[in-house]
Amino acid sequence: MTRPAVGPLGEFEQITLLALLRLEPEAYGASIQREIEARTGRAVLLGAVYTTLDRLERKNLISSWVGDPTPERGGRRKKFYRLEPAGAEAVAAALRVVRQLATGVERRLTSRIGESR
Amino acid sequence: MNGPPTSRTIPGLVRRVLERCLAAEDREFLLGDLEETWASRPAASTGWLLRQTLGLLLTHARGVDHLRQLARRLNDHRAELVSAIPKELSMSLTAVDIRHAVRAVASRPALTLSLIATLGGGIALATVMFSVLNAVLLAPLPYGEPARLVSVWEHHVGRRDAREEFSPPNYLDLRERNRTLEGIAAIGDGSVNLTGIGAAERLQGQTVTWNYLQVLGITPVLGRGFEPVDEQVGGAPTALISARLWARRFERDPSIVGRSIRLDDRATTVIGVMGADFVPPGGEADVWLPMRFDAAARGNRSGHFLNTVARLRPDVTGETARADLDRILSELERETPSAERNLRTAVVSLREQLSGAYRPSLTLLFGAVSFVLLMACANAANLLLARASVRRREMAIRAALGADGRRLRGLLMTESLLVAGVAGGLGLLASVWATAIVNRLLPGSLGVLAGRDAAWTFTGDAVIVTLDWRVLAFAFATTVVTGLAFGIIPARHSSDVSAHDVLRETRNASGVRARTRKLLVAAQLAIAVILLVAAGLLLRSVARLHAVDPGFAAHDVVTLRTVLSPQAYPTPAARQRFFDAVVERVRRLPGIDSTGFVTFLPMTFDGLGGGVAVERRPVPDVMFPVSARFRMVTHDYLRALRVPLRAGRTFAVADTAETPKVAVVSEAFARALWKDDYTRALGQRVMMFGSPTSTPERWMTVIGIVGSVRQSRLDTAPPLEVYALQSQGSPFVFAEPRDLAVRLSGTIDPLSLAPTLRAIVRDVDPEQPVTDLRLLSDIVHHGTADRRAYLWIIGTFAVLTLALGVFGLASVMSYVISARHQELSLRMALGAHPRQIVALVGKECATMVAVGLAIGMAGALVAARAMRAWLFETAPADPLTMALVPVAFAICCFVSCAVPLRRATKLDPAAALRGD
Repeated sequence: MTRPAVGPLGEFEQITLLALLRLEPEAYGASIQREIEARTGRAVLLGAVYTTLDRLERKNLISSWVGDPTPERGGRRKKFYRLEPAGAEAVAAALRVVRQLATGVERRLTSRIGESR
Repeated sequence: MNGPPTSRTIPGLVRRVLERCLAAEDREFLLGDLEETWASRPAASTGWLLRQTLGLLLTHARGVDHLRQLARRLNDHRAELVSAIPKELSMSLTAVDIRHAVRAVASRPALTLSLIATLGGGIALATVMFSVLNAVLLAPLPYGEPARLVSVWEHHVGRRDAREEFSPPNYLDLRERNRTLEGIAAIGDGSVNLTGIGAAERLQGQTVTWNYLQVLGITPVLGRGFEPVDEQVGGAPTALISARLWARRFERDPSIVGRSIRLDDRATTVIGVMGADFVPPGGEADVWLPMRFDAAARGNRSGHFLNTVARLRPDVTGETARADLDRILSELERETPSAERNLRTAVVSLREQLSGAYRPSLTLLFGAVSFVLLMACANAANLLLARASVRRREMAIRAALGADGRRLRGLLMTESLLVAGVAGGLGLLASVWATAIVNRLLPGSLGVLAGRDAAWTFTGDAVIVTLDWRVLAFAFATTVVTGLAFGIIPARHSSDVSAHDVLRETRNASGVRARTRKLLVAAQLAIAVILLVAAGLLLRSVARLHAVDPGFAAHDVVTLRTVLSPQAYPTPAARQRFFDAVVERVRRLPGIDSTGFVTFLPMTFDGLGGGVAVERRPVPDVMFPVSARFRMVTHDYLRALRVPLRAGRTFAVADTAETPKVAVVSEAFARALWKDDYTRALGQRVMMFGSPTSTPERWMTVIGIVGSVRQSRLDTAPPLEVYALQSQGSPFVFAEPRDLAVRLSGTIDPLSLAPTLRAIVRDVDPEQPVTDLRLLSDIVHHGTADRRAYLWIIGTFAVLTLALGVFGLASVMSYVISARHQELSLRMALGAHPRQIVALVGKECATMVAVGLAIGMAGALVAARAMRAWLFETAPADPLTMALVPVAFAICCFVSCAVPLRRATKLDPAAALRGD
């Protein structure tokens, strides 16, 4: 099977992948949602998280498996996610771009923000 | 890690909504995640929960995935689609415009909400109707490679019945000799009595040839299907049972396979259980028995009672198969002396066979729904136009800043497409819920839609409405078309401004807009007229139908069905003892007029069909000059139904197995052979289901001619008919009587008799099930249910659209009066009489009504012709309907205009003089 060509990641895709990576092997819908909210400080819809996870899975960047029933969820099972090699590559590439562009401009940025205050 | 354990759970309503609406594959994880987060965050508000719920519904509701796939597919063809979109539109589809449109739409919540409600309702209605149409007519049948499945019929060249069932020997010969079919299976009635475990029960069933499941491409979920050995005469009895029966009587016990149950008093081994989703073509069944062709069946060339389903070989068309099968029939004609002459085959795709009967009715209803949707568009356009004056300044400023008309139109179209999109999304969501309701209603009501050719079609249980990609594509297309349809007129008008006009505050433009609104109202009224005429024609048809003389008196007759098993009652004499015992006990009850058994009561089944041989009346080359329906009766049946005697006598107690065989024929039968001189039928000898050479003992002497009975439906001409007496022996077991009719003398309540009748049958034979205990008048009434159902549906639509149209009319009249407020006040100040004012304004109202009526009546004539199949003894241009509808319609319109007109006469002349 040929892997479909993967374009650059969208912002929310990046965030989701990073959150997933931080949580492994405990990465599932609710924990990813919590992680993103805690780290970025913005409110996230569970539906949006799942839509992104579905899309990433379709691009073969992540894979999923179903866990055992848990009592605190009314006996419902969790769907866990794991980063695939292609996903790791994509995150690394995205970070590389940010890092390369960000080197040397951070001080300028802080001074600019200070100006506006 | 999950926070403090709290007992907080998601409110039941939210959970139920999510459980019902979320797609099955992700439901568990999504709900679990939501439940977990909700429990671990005591601070989260109800608003948070609602946002999350809405988000989940929008992204993961059932059907959304289909929508997404559809969108992806559309996206793949983006370039072609974009090039297909008119220049005017594609220019407007920029992100800025969309953001602007969202802001504009959100800033007018009241208007937006009423637009969304009107359009969403229309789209939901159309989508639900389409999903039913899709499930019945378009979605693939639930069998393996359904496109190659066909139904094969026989027919006599030149006879009235275009499709006749197969006779067993013809079926067997075709099965062996054909070169175009992978397999052909025969299906016959196989209903049996289940006894020996609890209450005796009549099971609906089919006898099928061993290859039945193989031809359909289906396997049982438990056990095995039939094999050739099951078809052997004298072999051990075997049966397949339905998942429903398995659950109902055997608690889903898997050890049922191999167990023996009593069917028709015969120990029968259950060899398999069918899946719950198996839909037998041609009607419900709980049990399938292998068809076994004994010597009598193999010799019965003229008894036609087998349905078939066949699988074409790959690359074979129905036409090729027909030619192949016709070749075999003509070979048989040459080789076999007993073969019927002029016999041909008809090959119909199984899809057409099962759902063709529904096409006219579903098309009719879909047409009506389309009109309602059109109405919703017109109403929405009218609402938009009413508000257009508010936006004229905005448009003028934009125009002054350099936007040309095309750009303004694009902007406005984006807004209406946005509104339509939201309405379409909500409409789709509503139809997800409506689908559940429809699926609950269909089993009871779908049969009503099948109408006249209902034999061997889908039954209600067989159709499961789902929102598949066709429905979603339909909803999407409808939404886009709706958005364009209701937006285009207001867009053209609002964008057609000159800064000059607006800044001078002239009223010219509002005159143009009023004209457009009047046209829209006229269009709405026209749609209402079309639906009113359709409802009127249906009303006339139903009235005519109720006036039809069925050929018997249906009132005060209680009926029930007792099907005797051939094992418990192996001989005609044994059956006669049962019939006599029941009839005798019933007759001894107080208040009974007469009672008798018959093979099939009228309007329950057409009856068994076959060729009739008439002695000394051979038509050259035709052994059986006519086809007729055959019913066996006990001697008092014809009297119990009050079938009128035309000539001769009916059956008497004195006609017994020892006296010569006698028959009574219907007037239609006698006239078919002897024309006006039809009483010459008396004394003739006739024969059915036999051949004069091999079974001469089957000749029956005609002793009487009775009135023709509408055996299948009130709107279908009575068949030619031959009645024979049960006590004189039957050609085969299936022809034996099973239905009892009891006529009361009219002094007691017919239904109070029900327990007594059950007790009598139980008394005669405790193992004998009783089914279908009901009134004969209910059976007849049920036969008109289809047209009454249409009348209700179309009538409701008509009233709905009339109400909307009249409301639109009144609102435009108010608008016109306020626009001419100054002029009218001035006229009154100058001494115009209120009557003159009313005449002046009333003329505008009259114009709209007249235009609407004229267009509507023209449209109605076309629509009426399209629904001709549903009319009964009513011309599409029925004069009474065509005269009454306009009058009633005009009255409604003028009454609705009365309020605004009254206001016109109450204008204050002084105000005009003050210059307000």
